[in-house]
Amino acid sequence: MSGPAGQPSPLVFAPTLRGRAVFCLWAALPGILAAPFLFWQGAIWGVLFCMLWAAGVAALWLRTGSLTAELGEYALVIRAGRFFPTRRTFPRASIASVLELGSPLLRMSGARVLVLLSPGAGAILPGLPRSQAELLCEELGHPVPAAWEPPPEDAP
Amino acid sequence: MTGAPQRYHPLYALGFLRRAALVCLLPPAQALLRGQWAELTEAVWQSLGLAVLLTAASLVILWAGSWRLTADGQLVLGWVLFSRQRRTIRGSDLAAVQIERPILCRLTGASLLTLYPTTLDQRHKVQLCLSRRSAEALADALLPVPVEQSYHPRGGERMALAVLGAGGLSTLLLALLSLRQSRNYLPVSPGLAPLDQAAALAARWLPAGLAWFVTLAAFLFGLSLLRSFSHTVRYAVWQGGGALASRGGLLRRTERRLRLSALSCAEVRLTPLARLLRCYPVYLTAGCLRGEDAPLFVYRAGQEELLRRLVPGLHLPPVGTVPIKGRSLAFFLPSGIAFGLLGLMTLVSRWALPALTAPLALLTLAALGGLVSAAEGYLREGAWPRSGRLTLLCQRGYSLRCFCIFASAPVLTVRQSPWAVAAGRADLLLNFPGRVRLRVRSLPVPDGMACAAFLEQPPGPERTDPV
Repeated sequence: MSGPAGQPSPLVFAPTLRGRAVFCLWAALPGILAAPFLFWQGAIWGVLFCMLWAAGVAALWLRTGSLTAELGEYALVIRAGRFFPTRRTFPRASIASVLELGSPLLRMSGARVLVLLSPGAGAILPGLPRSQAELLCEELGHPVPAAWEPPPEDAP
Repeated sequence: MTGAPQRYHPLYALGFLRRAALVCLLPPAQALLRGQWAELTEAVWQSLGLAVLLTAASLVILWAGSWRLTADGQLVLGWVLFSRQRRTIRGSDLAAVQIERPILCRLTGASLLTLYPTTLDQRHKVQLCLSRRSAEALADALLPVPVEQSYHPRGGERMALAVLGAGGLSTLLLALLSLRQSRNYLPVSPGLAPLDQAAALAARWLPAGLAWFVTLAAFLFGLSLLRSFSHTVRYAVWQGGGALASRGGLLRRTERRLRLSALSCAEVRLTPLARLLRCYPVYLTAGCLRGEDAPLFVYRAGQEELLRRLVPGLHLPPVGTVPIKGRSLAFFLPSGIAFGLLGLMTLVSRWALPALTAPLALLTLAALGGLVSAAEGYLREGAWPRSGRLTLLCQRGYSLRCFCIFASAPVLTVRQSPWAVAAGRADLLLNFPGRVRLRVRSLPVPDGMACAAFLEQPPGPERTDPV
């Protein structure tokens, strides 16, 4: 992680095109399964539902296209979104566990989905290349530089 | 106490029985309402049989549950009915421990012990019904109480008493108004005659039904104040040995212990009443214990030193306004809409329904108060790193809330909409252990980035405020 002059430079992770495609396919599947029931209610309902669901999947595609994760010495910063930008800071000490998901399609595309879990919050990093996902899991598994523990407060 | 599994107090079974009691009482009640006496006798026998069954089920539940404290100080909860379950709780994983003794518990020698984990949410808190001595011994083993100090802040009693007094007087006045309005429908009581002159002007504007409704609302509010006041009787709070403790209550004696290292945030709430009385309630959040139901203590203006002694490291947000250029007007939306609608309805009621003008005017005034609070939030809401802590100022309802963040590793989100991007503004969202969330609206982006940069530093006293 060290860069020039010993300064730690953050590791940057971003999803691949194929990884994003698989993730968006997962998102589209429930809509594909539910669409016949909506068409059964009426063609207009079916068309409306398909348009809305397709818009949601398109928005997810755009969002994952702008997703990056930077792992610094003390925190993981996740940025996503162009029209609704979001920046999330996860202190490394707060990340309790990382779940690595791999399905047959993801393995074919050479990608993984990571789910970060911390008390009170979580995040999904979809479509990361397999090597980057393993590197991130390994780095997050390293002990965080010892945080200062305040001594027990003595009674005044 | 360590070693052998122990059973819960018999009151634990009563909890289940109490919930199922409605099933027993429903058939006789139905027969009684219909006036069918033959059916009533049968229904009573049925209910008795059902009660015997439910009691047997309660005893089985009592037998199935157990607890024990291991030699290394871990609490193990067991369950053997239909499946074997075991849950292990370490004292170091607990953010807070609470011992409650309502009247029924005090009569039966029981205590309700509630354990609040540090990292899990409210659904995973544990509540046990134990004997008094077992509950105290278990609480001492999991989170020892610090040595009690000599000084106990008592501002909460005065504040609650003042509000209670005001609530009582207003309820009495409203009751008199309601009786005055109901005089047309009821025989005249000679005792009301001397009060007619004082109540006549206001009573003329309130229809009888609405008057009784408002009286009932005020009466219920008074009851809740009475309950709050009973919590503050013989109330004390002190800290030491890495823990903060409080104890008090008249009808429901409650003792609460918080681990200072598991503290997520401290909140000083500036309600209109608190500003009037210059007594400010302090709420603490530790793990999944939100503490929003009652303040841990109330301190008077000028006692900030006491506040810092009880909660070491507490810093409050700075006083003053923030730059408002480009700030979102969404601050004014809820109260503004309410004020506009109610104001319009008040004006229309002058011609359409004059009897409703006064209550609508009251509601419009309340909405105007909300609008004034929203304006204060618009001018003051923000987030600042101060002396190694992140401090927030948020407006919610009629009150301004000052937060000091103690959690060393909260998750921070800076979120923008397309309009916020154009205005250079962002919303700040903080997530703590226990699924607690705080939100600051429409912050300048550089301030949001400063807060993010602050949290990206290593936690500790070396954390510096960004320039």
